[in-house]
Amino acid sequence: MVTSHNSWDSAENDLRGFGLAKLEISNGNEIWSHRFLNSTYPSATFFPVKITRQINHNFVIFGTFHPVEWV
Amino acid sequence: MVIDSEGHPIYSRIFTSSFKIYLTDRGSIEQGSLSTDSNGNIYIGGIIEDNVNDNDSGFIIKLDSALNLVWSKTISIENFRATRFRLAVLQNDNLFFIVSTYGHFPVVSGTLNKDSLLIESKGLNYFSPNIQAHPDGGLFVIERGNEDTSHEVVLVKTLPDGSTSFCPDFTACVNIREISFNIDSTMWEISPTIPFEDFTIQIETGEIELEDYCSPQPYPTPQFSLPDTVCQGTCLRPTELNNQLANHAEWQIVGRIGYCIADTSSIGASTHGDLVHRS
Repeated sequence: MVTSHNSWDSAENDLRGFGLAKLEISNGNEIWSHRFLNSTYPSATFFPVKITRQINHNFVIFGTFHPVEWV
Repeated sequence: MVIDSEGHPIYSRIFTSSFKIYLTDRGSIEQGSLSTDSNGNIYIGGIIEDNVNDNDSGFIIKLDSALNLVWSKTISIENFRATRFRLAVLQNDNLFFIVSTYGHFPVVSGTLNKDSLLIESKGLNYFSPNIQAHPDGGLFVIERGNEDTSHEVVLVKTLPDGSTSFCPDFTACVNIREISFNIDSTMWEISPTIPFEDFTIQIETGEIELEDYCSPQPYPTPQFSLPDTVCQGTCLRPTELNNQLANHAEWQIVGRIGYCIADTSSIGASTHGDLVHRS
């Protein structure tokens, strides 16, 4: 699992949200990747700090919002 | 936030507090800590301003697998400001934590049970470590050297209960208090990302010299001597070096700012000082 501190939509120069991807551990091939945008705080950037896995194989992501102008 | 194995959001909560919470240091050291137990409960930790004690403390929030609050606590070290807080769930589902004070006191470690009851606490001979739970039990404790030993990395594998049998430990005073957070739900939308691209990296190998970290050294003690003769009215301040290089660290006796350990203008002089690590 890899993550970025902020996602970037180059067409819209939009730094909100964050990116997350799941890769094959053996070769790094992408299994899936998503850009996450928060609709409750649309003007803030989310910094994912930690990711871990639950016993049921769900993932837990823990991070913090910053105003987008800090980035 | 909890997402399923395909990356779709299931639960999301936002925690706010009237106290300032530190999870990142704006491009510097990550302060947050996250771990899960065998029942899917989630523990998150970080640093929070403690206006009650005019100090910074560690905090722990325990959530169930659906992000409902179970309990939340602050972990503070009396008279010392917490600068880094790390936690990890042990194999027996107890919670191990480490509070760093940036060398002003030996790093304080402790173990809580699932109901936040403190099982034990002690000071350990580290500076500002990270911890990582190991699947076979025990923890890896990793830290880069301080300003004087920046070329060194300390790597420790603990026993399953988080302890070590080979390093000295110190008495530590840990305070655990309730703290409340405001909790709200928050919504996420997902969209595709830009495509990934391959790139090449080159790894160079080098020699690593290993040596034992802990060795029998005298413990630092708060014993220090006062001059034989002082003038009346003199305020003696606890600044003498003592126990220099005990436990591989340089120590100095200091007291609170403006606080006299012995005021010769009064009869009932007392001796009191704190040990701090010279960083």
